[in-house]
Order: sequence, then structure tokens, then C-alpha cells
Amino acid sequence: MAKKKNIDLEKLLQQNKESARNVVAQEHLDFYTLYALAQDKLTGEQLLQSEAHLAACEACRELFEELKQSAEFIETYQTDPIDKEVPQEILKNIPPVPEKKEQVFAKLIFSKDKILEHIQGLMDDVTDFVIKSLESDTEYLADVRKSVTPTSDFQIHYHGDEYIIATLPDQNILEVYVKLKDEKEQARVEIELYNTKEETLIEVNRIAINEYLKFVFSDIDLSETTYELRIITSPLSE
Amino acid sequence: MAEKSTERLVFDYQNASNQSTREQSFAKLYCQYFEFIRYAIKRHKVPFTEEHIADIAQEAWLVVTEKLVDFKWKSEGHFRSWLFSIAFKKAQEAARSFVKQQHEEFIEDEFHDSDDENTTLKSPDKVAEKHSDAQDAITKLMQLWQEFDAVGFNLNYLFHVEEKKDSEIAASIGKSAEAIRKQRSRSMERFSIHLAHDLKTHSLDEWFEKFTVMKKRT
Repeated sequence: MAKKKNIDLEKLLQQNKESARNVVAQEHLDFYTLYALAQDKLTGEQLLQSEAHLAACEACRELFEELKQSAEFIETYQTDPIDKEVPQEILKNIPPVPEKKEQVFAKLIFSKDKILEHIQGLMDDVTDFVIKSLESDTEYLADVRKSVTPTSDFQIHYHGDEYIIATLPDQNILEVYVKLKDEKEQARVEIELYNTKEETLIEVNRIAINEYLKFVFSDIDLSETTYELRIITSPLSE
Repeated sequence: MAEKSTERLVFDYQNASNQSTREQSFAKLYCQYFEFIRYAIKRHKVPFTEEHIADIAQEAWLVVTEKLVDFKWKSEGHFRSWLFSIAFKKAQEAARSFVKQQHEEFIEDEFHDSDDENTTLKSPDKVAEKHSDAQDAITKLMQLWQEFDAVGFNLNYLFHVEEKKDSEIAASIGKSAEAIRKQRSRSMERFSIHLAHDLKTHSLDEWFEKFTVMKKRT
């Protein structure tokens, strides 16, 4: 008995180009992909998929070309605020803030060598938000830590609350000490360490030591990975 | 007091503990980027009127209010590109609906002007019906292939539909032309086997029958 023939997929594509284009163009590229593509930062499968889509989708191709052509303008654009009232239709469309939302009051980005690389989103009263590098003989740490690496320890003051962020010398552990003005409020603080590469949260141990609340994150790798430390507080009591 | 940075305004919008902070942050962003959004719309090849630009800008800002909550800040340039792409997309949509409207008006005129014998052919409904079941079946088959092996499908698409050479595809994704050729062939082979073994489909006719049954069921 003769072997059954299979569908000729090559011919299928060649004879139905419009259908193929519709399949490839079905889902538009999202902004993050287009941006990475315009910056030549896509590789491998993602790049292949994007190229196939751009070949088929005029709208994305047009936007991509525009992003590339206007890159310099976009990058160097100087905002010149004008006095303009936001129309009511737009104001009404702003999503409501969820009630009693936990508040991430600071995000600190960590990586090798420069531990405090970037601070995102300070509260309104910046003057009350002080970050300073600690010296190795810092007195109050003596009780809670034996060794201190001066370049990688930071102290943050906010509304009378105190946060100390420290790495152990081998840099596999990150510790955060928290001392709140009102000890009864300790429960409202949460510290999260987020691995930005793997997009996962690092497990944390929460320990009370004297007047400090200590958060310990183990097995971190500052030489290869960037972490985001999130200091989260429940709404301040009135 | 110093002006808040864009990054700060975005952060406040996303993390505000009350609505008024969120609205104030937005209002500042609105004033800062009002002209920028208009610029992005004007970059579109369709020369919109001032009235149109204002409408499109409003549409773009409505999208910003919704999406800003989840926007992932990277840099000022990244944020501006994000705003730019929202405004430009809205301009594209406006241009498309303008063209569509003109096209519909044209068909409508043709329909009314023509003789009775031609009206059935030129009716917009009849034009839409031209998209046959067979075409749907072919599209579905290609979608199955794409789901089965997206990379292989895309390689074959670029080669057979866009008529790109293996060497061109290879150069853009950093592989050898031979590797691309092999991967293309392997994908076709594997999907053919999948169709034959798992879906018991050996020809397009068999597939059309299966597709028709599937369609009736759903």
C-alpha cells in the first residue's frame, strides 16, 4: 500500500501569503518589545518573532520606524511645562487609589560595588529623608553586628524611623535593621528583596533584636544579580 | 520647593495613598508632556487638523491614566518613548478609522449609483462574505503550526512568505544559514508528522472536513 502523503506546508505558505500574514500579525508587539527592538536589545527567538511580526504588521512597523527616527528627539526632549488644566473627562478616568493601600515608600536598587545604586520614589518631605554611609566603628551597630563594611552600610532616616541596610563581608547576606520611633508600630513595616533578573522575591527571616527589627536575606548574589529592596509600610496612623 | 522629577511623579501616581495625590501627580505630568504628546501625533503622516489633534491627544491621555499604574520605570527616555508610542498608536487608529469611513462612503455611493443588476455584487455585506470557510481553515491550520512551534513557523514564514534568504535571517539573529535551513525543514517535518499522527490529517481536504466539523461543534 502506498504511503499516505502529508500536507505540503511549503506550498501552503506560498499560496496563502495573506492568511500567513494575518496569523503572524494577529497580536501586536507590546511597547516594551518595540522599545527593546528599537534599542537593538532583542536577541534570539524574541527578535525572530518581532521581525516576522514587523514584516506582516504595518501598524507596528510604522510605530517602530517612528520610534527609531525620533529616538534622538525623545531622548533629549526638554520638558517645558505649560499651565494647562486637565480636562474633566481625563481626570474622571484616573483609576481610584485602593483604600488602605500598603505604601512602598522607597525602592533601593542594589548591585555589586555600588550597593545603593538608585533610590526611587522618596516621600514629599525629602529633607527628612537622610541617607548616609556608616563608618565601621558606628557605635549602635556594635550591639547587633560584630563587623561592619563601611562602604556597604547605609542608614536611612524617615519621620524619625531608622533603617540600616548592610551586607556581610562575603556579600551573600543582606540585612536590614529597622527601628521605628514608635515601637508599637513595628508590625506595620515589611521589607521585601526582589531579584530583578528572575523576578522573584527572596525569602526573609524577621527577627527582633533589642529595639531593632532585623530582616535577613540569605543566599543572595550581588556579583551577578541586581536586587530591588522595597520598604513597605502600612498607612501611617493619624 | 524644587520641581518633582518625572520619575517621582510617576512613582507618586502609582503609589499614592490618596486620590488627590494621584491626581496632582497626573496634572503635573499632563502639563509637562502636553506638547510632547501633540508632537507625537503630528509625526503621523496624516496631516490632522488642530481639532483632530486635540481629540487624539485626549484619547492618548485617557490611555495614559489607565496604563501608568502598571508602567515599569526604567529611565526618562524610556518613559517618553512609552508616551510617544501611546500617542502615535492613537494617531494610527484615528487615521485608519478616517480611511475606513471614506472607504465606506465610497462603497455606499457606488451602491446607490449602480444599476440593479450589479447591486448584489457591490453590497458591503456580500463583500464580507467573500472570506470563505476554506480561508478560515487555512488560517486555523497555520495558527496550529504557530502554537506547535512558533520559532519554526516564523522561520518558514520569513522564508516562504516574506521571501527572505536563510542567510539574511541568520545574520539578524546570529546563527548560521545552514542552522536556519535545518530548523525550518525540521519544523515542517515535525508539524507534518503531528498532523498525520495526532490529528490523522494527510491532506488539505481532510483538514477542511475536520475544520468544518470542529466549527459546527463550537
